[in-house]
Amino acid sequence: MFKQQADQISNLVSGPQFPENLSLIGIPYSQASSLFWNCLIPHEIGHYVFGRLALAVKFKKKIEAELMTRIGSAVSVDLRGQIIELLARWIEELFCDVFAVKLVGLCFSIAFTELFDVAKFLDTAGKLTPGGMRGETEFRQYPPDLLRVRQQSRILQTDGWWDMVQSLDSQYANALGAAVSLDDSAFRCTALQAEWKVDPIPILQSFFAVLPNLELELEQCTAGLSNCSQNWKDSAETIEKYLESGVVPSTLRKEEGAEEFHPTPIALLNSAYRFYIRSMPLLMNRISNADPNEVESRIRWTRRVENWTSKAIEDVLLLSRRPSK
Amino acid sequence: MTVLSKKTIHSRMRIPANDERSLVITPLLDKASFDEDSIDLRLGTHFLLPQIPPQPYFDQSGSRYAKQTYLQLHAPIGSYFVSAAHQTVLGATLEFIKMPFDLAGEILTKSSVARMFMLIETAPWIHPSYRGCLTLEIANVSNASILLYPGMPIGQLILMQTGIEQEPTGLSGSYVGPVFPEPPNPSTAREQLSLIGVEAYRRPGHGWVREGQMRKDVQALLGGISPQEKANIQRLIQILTDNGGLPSDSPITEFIK
Repeated sequence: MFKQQADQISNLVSGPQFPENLSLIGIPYSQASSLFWNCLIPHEIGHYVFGRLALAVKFKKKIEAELMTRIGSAVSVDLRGQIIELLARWIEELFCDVFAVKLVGLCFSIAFTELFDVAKFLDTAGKLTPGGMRGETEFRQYPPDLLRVRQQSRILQTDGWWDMVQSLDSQYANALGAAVSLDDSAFRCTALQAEWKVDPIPILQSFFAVLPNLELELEQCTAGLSNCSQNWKDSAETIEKYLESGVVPSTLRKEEGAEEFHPTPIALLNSAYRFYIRSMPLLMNRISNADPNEVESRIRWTRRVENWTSKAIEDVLLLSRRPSK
Repeated sequence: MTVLSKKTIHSRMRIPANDERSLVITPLLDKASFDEDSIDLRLGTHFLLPQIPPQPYFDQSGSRYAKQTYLQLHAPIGSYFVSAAHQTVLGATLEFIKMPFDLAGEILTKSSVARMFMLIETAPWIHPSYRGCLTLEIANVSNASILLYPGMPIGQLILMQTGIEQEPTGLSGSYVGPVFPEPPNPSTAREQLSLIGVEAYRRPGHGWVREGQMRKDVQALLGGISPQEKANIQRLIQILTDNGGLPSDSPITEFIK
């Protein structure tokens, strides 16, 4: 369908035809020009993958089976259908999140935590406040942010990104750390009770019973992907040293005389994001008229770090296309 | 000044970027970019096309209506940018360069490009410790349009040893790290002239402007009147500005506001 629409537009302007396997990935307006927030785009790619693999159908069957076990015919067929749709939507959102983490690593979770301000309900010690628990553990049209962060954190732990989380002395890391140990019973759904007059407990139990299948599906569809956390570990420190020196980190050397190497885009994104969170003052203190405590100055130099990272990503793609001699 | 040889350039490039002696040129897409005394640099993908200002001239005295503005253009690698005959455009090198603290550099048009009557650089000097993609002032001085392909070699970088021995303690913010062509950000003519003691300057549509004296007199006048009178004067200026009786970029308008 997208291909047809795209070709129609292309015909109007006498442009070239689009490739056969054209897909359309929606990008929320909020991500517009910020490189770091564009780390959220893999979530939207996840929706495409979820659709292509027809996972909705698979999950709806599993959800229905679980619901039948728990509530049987206590609700009408219509209402059961609506509940299945809602639970499948929650599953899809969670799938897209963990898919994004598999694709780009921790930078997705940090961007997520930043965009949705998940850290706002933490106290100064990094612990979830009772108010935070009330606000952030409620299922609505989307799963609660803390559940989304919990699922992401679990993948970060198994995929070797947790070292990076622990190296961030920030509220982002605290939010990830606070979420990871939350039990299923911490989450509630009073909306179901209010709108549909049904007991939410067996419904949430059905949802959480299906949830482990999500990780199985994820493992299957990302089996060909290499784990990029090791590559990040190998090059992160050098990338951050280059950024601190105000240099585009596309061709790196760890020490004098050492072989040059080119980092991967994933290592670049994750290292630059960590640099932005914890090391901007190291760069700004070297530059005349830059003040890390002044908002405008910080925005200006953050934009520069984003520019250097984007440039480095473009550079490594160009470098990878060179014919081998 | 000694021009650096290929061997010395290579030895500087083997130093990591956080060392002030290091030279970084990235991405180097072709090892054959090195000549015995220079490195080929390629055309980048971003351009700034100067626009015609509302006034029929550019005015560096600070007029907002005669300021240079630009159209941003992007031509990806593989595509091209059409430089019309006698047109000027700002481009940048594809390569990001970090200069060592003790070397200066110069970028020259490649002879193959120059022989098409295409000039790429009129401010070719690169200061020690500079880092960024080099902004190119590209001018097609030929009588025909020329297609510019990003990624094509366009200039040559030559490096020279300076006598600087002391590593810098900090970096100047104005030119750290551009990766796109950068428009000029000059101080205005009136600021520059004031620095050398010139009190009056001539401005189109205004005649002679004696800004320092005017500010002093206006300040003295405003100091001796009531807040109500001051508010009335500000309102009067606003009415004149809003209705075309006074240019909104007049030096005094902003001052009195």
